[in-house]
Amino acid sequence: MIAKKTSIIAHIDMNAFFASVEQRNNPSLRGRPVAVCGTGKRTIISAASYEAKAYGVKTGMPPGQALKICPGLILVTGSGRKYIDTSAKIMALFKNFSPTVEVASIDEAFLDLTTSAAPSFHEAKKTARCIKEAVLYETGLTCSVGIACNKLLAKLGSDLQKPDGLVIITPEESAALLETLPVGKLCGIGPSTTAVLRLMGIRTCGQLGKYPLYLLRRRFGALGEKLHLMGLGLDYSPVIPLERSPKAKSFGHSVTLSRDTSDIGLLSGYLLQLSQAVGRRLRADAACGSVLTLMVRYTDFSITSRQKKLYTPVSHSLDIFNIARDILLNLKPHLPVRLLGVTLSGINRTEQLSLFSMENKRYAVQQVMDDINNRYGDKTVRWGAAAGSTPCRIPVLSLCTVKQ
Amino acid sequence: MKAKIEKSCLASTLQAIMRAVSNRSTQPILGNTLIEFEEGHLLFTGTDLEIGLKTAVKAQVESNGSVTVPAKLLYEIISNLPGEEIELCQEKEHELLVKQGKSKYSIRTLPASEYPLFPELEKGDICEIPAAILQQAIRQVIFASSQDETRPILTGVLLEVEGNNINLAATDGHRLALRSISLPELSQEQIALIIPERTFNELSRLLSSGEGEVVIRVLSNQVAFIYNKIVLVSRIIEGKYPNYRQVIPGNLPSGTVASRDEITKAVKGAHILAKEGSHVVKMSFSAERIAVTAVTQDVGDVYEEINAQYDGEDMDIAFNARYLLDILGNLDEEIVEIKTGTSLSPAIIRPVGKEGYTYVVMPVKMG
Repeated sequence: MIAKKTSIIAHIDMNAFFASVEQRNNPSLRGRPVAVCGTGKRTIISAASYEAKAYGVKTGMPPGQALKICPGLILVTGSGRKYIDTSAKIMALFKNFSPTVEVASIDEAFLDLTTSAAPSFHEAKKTARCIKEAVLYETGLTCSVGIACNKLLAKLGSDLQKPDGLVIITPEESAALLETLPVGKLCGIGPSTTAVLRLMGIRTCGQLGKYPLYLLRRRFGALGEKLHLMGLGLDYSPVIPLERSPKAKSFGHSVTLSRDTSDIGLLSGYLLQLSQAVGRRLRADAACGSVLTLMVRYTDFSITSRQKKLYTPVSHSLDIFNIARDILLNLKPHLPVRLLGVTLSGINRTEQLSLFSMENKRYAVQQVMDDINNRYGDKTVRWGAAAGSTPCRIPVLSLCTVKQ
Repeated sequence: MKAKIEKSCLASTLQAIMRAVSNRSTQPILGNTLIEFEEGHLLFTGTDLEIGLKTAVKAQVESNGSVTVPAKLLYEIISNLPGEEIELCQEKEHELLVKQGKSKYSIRTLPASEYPLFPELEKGDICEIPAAILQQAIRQVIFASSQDETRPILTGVLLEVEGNNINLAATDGHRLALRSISLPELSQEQIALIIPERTFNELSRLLSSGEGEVVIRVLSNQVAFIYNKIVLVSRIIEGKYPNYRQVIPGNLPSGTVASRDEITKAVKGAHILAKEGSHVVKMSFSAERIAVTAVTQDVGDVYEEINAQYDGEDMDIAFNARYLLDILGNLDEEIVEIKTGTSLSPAIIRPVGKEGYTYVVMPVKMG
């Protein structure tokens, strides 16, 4: 076999992105503990500044809990548009340094820095410094950069030094680093996998890499192989730029209810909203789905999910709603529900035409609704539960005020 | 009560009855079969309240009576007995004895009085129809009924009397299968019943010998099929079946005639790759050929070609391969005709040389 050319991959992670954007825009917030959250009663913290993190404030925490551990915490209501604009600016900037940029999320990206036949980590380090300077100059924000020969280790590198870090993990250094590194530090090994591994006597990446592969396969199935490679610090996944990224394989939305409830009528209302959101995204992508998954989180945080395979793929919001609702009714929630999620997978990008004109009219109405919402904004026109009728079987069309 | 009965007759009867009893019901008696000991025969009944099955088996009955026992248990016991003659008798209350030679099984019973009443078969025959023809008709339409329980009407099959014809129609909204059977004598002029798909499935099993005639009779809110000594009673799905006639296109400009076997092989071949994705195959019609192709991203593509006479402008139409294979696999004729309009309008598939069958299928719009 011919040895594969060494790749050099950089992972760039913006530091406390949402909170940093708020601190940049409002000088009075600088140097103070800030957390960004939503407006609802049951909102959670989506980002905390480093000053807040020092008190133990974490992403995903309810604001009440965060205020208890950090009484001086300043809560700021997030603004998606602000972050999206800043993110777009940063991602465009990365293009100056590499033609191959994979946007991993709103605040992180992988850059393939393998520029020549014999790439050098020394050159890559210089490039990383330039990137950090450019980001700071253009946006006033800092970032952490990890450089390694694959995405897994690059991501690990950016996590090792925060904020404003630059860590290089060369192939020579990686084995020693992984030997004692706890498995949970690797991206892709979460708390539940960590717990299972611990029961198997595996605590460090070094132990994971040496663990017999067939035993990992037996315990984790296909994931076992991936875990084995992760333990060895190997990752063969390429950096995939947006234009070459595969089309979505599933479309899902979930919502935490404003209060826990067992009322099927209320739950149906939420399902309808979710079905509309999922359906609209499906149709915008000219897709339909043939597997519907309903996820329910109960008041005690236990989760149940049920799947239904559909003979005919769906994209109409009401079809999605009817199936999701049937699953919910069969599920007979035994506790009040805290969160509902609807996901369609088995994605298909063709449209089976209908024999009956009634069906075609239904789709035409749906198309008009999509057109109106695309033009005048989300939820300008939507399916609404008929007033006073719970549970609703066939929702009626409701018009909100058209924005001028 | 006491009777002697042939094992093979009893086994085949219980096999049929077991399809009607429900083993998962909250009412234990629905897992039982009702056995009525009558002069010269035993009557077996099974029901899950959706369908009911009643059949008579010849037996030497020494004393009359009735009892219910778990159908599956009785079947397993008699299947395991080696000899041919089996004795069923009741010596103690709540127990049925199954005896043969030195073997003796005692099964707990539930009282016959608690068993659901089998409907009275009052008069009201629609027709008498040869079993083989009815079985073929069921096979040729039933696959087109919908699996979508949110549209209960389409999960059934329409049984319709119209003039001298009995029509069976099934549609899932994307394709329609219609079989018309001409019968000389029909007692009612117009009737339309939506029969659950399962009823026809079970009936089709019962008709597997293909001999004799089936009587179809309408009860107050049920329908009965009487065949040999078996009566199958089923609920009817309430509602109005969609007007299927309006979706059968009248004059389609283009048509092709080809070997059913060859088209089936080509579509099956294309479906090997298509089923990895959307199940969609494209049929390209031109003067003397039909090309069947499929492309599945990240898997591969396929090209199959067959010779066919085609009359019309060159055209590409995409279909769900399963909708094509369903019909092609259920026709018995060797040559089929495919009539098309445009790539987005319904197509018709019919067997050549046989009247009375129409399959309408909507194409798929490619993204």
